[in-house]
Amino acid sequence: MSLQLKGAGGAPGIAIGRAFCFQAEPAPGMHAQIGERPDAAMERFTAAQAAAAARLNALAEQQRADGFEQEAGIFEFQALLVEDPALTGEVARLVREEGQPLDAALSAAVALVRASIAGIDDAYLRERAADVDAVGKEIRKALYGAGPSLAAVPAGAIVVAPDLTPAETAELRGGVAGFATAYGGATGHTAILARAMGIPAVVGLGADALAIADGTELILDGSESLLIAEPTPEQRAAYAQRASAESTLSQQRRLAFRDQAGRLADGHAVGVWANIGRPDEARAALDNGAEGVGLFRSEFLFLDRTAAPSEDEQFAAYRAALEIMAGRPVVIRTLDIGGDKPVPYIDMPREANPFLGVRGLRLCMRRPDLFATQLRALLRAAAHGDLWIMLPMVATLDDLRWGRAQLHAAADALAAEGVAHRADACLGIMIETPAAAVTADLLAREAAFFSIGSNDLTQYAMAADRGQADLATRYPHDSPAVLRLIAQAAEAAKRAGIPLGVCGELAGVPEAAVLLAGLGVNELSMAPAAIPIVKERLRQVSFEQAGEMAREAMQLLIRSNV
Amino acid sequence: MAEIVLTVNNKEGLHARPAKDFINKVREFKSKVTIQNLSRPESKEVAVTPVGLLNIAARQGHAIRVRAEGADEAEVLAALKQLVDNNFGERDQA
Repeated sequence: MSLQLKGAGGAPGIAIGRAFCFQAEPAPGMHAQIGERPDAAMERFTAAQAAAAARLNALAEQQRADGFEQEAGIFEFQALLVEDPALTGEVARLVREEGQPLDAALSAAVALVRASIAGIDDAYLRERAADVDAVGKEIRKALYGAGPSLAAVPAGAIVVAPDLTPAETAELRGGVAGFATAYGGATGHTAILARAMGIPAVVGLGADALAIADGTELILDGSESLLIAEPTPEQRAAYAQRASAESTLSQQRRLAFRDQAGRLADGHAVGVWANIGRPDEARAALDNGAEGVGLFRSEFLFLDRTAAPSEDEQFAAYRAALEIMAGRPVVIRTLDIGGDKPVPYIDMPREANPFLGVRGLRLCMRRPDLFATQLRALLRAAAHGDLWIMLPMVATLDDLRWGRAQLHAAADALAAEGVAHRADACLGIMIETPAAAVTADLLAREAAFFSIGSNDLTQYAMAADRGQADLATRYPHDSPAVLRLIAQAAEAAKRAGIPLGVCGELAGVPEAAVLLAGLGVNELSMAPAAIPIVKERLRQVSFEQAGEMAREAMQLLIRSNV
Repeated sequence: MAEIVLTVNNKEGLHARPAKDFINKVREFKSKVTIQNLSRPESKEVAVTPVGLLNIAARQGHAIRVRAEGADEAEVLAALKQLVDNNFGERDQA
């Protein structure tokens, strides 16, 4: 019996394949076994320790084979830590003498060991505490099982999951046909990464998606946000034909526009640039005809690891992207994380509202050491291409001035040490807080460029969590409120004579790209796969027409989709 | 009982792979081995275990005192001295 589910968005394209159901790690406490005998509990614990150590050693081997010697050493040490006598002793004491369930005993023992080394005001020691946390997590995984690993997904499968973390999504790189999630909105990280990787996806399908059994035949239509389970033979034939036609068409479009500059019908230039998350994605950007990189998210260097990346490691990554782009501009955004993406080596307090908390530049203010290292790496890399430095989460002129002062300090230090670098790399800001948009005239006096982060700007302007599918649908990014904020920033940029880009998802939607061009945006930055179709659409309207459409969109009071 | 004071000169300090090598070296011998970080006055003398090494957090430049007690105490200290003096085989020195 054919079943159709409608999602809240995703990544375009058609995928046909079998379901691979992926369940995330269970929450602690879910598996507490009431009344388990202490001997049986300790037996389970010992087996879990051995399994966790084996897994960590295997990870170490893999890291070493990939050339990450230092990371390999960290995993090897953690493998020893898993079976540390102090940790084992404390768990045994709590289980045997205090009669605690294993789950609670493990949490308490990890917290005790952690407390013995954390709390001292020394970054080096805090990083060591992350080792303890990682070890607790590994033992827990071994105890309860983390479900199937994404690495085990068969080629051509469609991954079905409640939601996916950025790390899990990134693991999907090889061979997966598509993925479908029950939760998350169109601008959640899962959808963004899927678009960047060119993998069809539908997110926000609702809990019904979780009832789909492993191996069920699926058709995923990312462009229509549709998931069809057990399709009829007619549906299967129709989609197979569409998939093949789409792939031919998109190939032709890519080749036709690859070497063409972005422009409107009347020749008005609108740069079409790419968003990337890793240096090697710059190749896909060029293949699709990117004229620059409008957003290089530096987070990949910082996430999913136990210690901050070194200056040299960062320098190598930034330089690699610049060299691939061969003289074209590359906008690198400084570290943009917050409480929603905790990193083991950064001490981040639990926040009730992580999106309104210490994130982006604010986190860098708490950890100027991390920021200084990144700025040094950026200034050194700037000598190898056209690098623009972009600060995220700026709300005031003081924020920008603080960032500039740090940049000057980093340049002075490099000069004093005689390290090759480029001190005059330009410094611009994201416009993603409504505060920045409405004071854009003040910020434009001191910023070298603006780039609109339309995802967060929408979330903040509409007070609507972008991770919640129903809210994301109801308060779209091209709402008059958001467009007016963008228009305000565009006006300020124009008066000050600084370039204005848009690097949010809006830029990669052909119809929205036209509106943005009409507002006077100079450069649109998007997932590489969206570049050809946006270039094609821009060439169909003149600047005057686009401006008229934008003015109309800013006046819209009632939306047809409500 | 025998003791020795060594200076940690490798870039990573007594962490990650160097810590693993240090622990595994001690495990090759029978003597009971303890360690104290003299450069952190607040750190205590601890057994050479993963948690022990985390607690003393010996970084590059720190002085550590290693004590051994047992049949092969001289040998274990000699082996540890060699390991530390060779910077755990690290190539990239700061």
